[in-house]
Amino acid sequence: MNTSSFACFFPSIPETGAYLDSAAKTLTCRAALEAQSRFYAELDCNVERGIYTRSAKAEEEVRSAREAVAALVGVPAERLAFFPSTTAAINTVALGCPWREGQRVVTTNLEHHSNFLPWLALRRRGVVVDVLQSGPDGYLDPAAMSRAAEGAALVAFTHASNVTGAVQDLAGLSRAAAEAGAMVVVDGAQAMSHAPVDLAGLPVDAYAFSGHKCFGPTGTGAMYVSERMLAILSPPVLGGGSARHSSPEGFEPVDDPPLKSLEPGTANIAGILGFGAAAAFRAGLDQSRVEGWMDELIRSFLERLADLRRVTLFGPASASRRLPVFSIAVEGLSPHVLALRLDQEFGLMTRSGTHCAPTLWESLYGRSRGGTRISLHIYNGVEDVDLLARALARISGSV
Amino acid sequence: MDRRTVIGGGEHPFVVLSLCSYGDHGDYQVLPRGALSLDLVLIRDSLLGRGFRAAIDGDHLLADPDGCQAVLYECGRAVLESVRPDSSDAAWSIYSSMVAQESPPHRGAV
Repeated sequence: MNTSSFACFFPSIPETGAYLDSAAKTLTCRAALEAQSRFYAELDCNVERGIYTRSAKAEEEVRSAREAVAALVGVPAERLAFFPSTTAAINTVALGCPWREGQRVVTTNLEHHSNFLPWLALRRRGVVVDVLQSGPDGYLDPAAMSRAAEGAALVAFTHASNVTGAVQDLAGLSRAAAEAGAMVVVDGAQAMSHAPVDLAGLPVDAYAFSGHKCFGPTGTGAMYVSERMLAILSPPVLGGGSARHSSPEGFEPVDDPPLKSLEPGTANIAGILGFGAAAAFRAGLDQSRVEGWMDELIRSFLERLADLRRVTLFGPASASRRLPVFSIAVEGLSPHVLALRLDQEFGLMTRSGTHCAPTLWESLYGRSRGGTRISLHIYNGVEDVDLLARALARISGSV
Repeated sequence: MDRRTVIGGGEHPFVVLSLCSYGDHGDYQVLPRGALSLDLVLIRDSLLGRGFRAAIDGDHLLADPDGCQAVLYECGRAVLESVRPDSSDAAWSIYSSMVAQESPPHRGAV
């Protein structure tokens, strides 16, 4: 019996054990599954220049999906481009900006590789890349951001950590960076599905996120792109749909709709429709109920953790300003072995290692091997937390 | 790429997956493709006989073959940590030498 009232929307909830790896991929909601199946069963064609009714209908569905996904972050649909992932979206900015030698980029010690490596790679082009350190609690300080961003061309930071679950002060940090004169790029992959994001009024130039972390299918992502960011971007990938005109002498890039140039080639149409359905599903959830349930899960986990000896939590110990994402270690056990035993002996699906964020692990906790991450979402029940607590008690020898 | 070794007279395929890389050493997971039932007691004794530390802890085997730390379940699933050099070939070499049992005949292989 799953005690989450949201569980009924997710057909892949395991019958035994528990799925505790939502920070890597949320379960897919039924609406997203049905939207993808419906596309292949009923439309199954390409979009845009098909001069037939079915193609026009598919095009209309993609438009609706774009509107639904854009609404999740409070931006107009024409300012949102689809990508295969958050990684692809952020790389498009890193590769597409007109860098000059000596320009400076600031990223942070909290970043997932998807918002870290694309910037580090710019050093090969003569760009100076600085890494802003968070406080020991894993939160970024807007005042420190303001100082770090002074003279920087671009600042890139995460909205919420995929390791500690700490939710950053998006408004404070983006304003601090923008007032210092920097463009602002935000990795929204983790934050997106947990609470509405309203970019309206915030000086954010790019906000990237993934469908598969918001109840949608893998292979889908999206990015809000500001007008000033789009004005300087040269799409690093070109192909079908990239040009208004072309000839052996050259081509004129497409610019209508504005972000069209960032979506070359045939899109993942089924995935986009699934992403759109997931976005509509998420938007339809009562946020106060979502927050109430998340809070219940967070408090349940933290309470049970306090009873366990030999188990260490990395990240905020309070229930506020955090997601239900917890990295832990059991004394005497490596992260991988803990994850293996949780799965093998209790059917608990977690993720171990550095979670593509080795700099976070080293800088905050001095741990090169990382930890074992438990990430919950709305479909998890309190009984999942109970099972996890019993498993940790058994494995750690707390009972 | 499948890796194969003989266990109890039959050839079994496995996959080796990289978990984490630390430069000079790495962590790997080994997964059997298909059902397998290893004799952990036999493997433990074999490892002890070769001078490695090995012990059964509940339903899994803990061992330190060739300088790495291994956890092995009866189903053949294992995590190998601190594998040197950091390569799937090295991980497979350690795993296959740990589980491959020709004599005495393996009791539980499917």
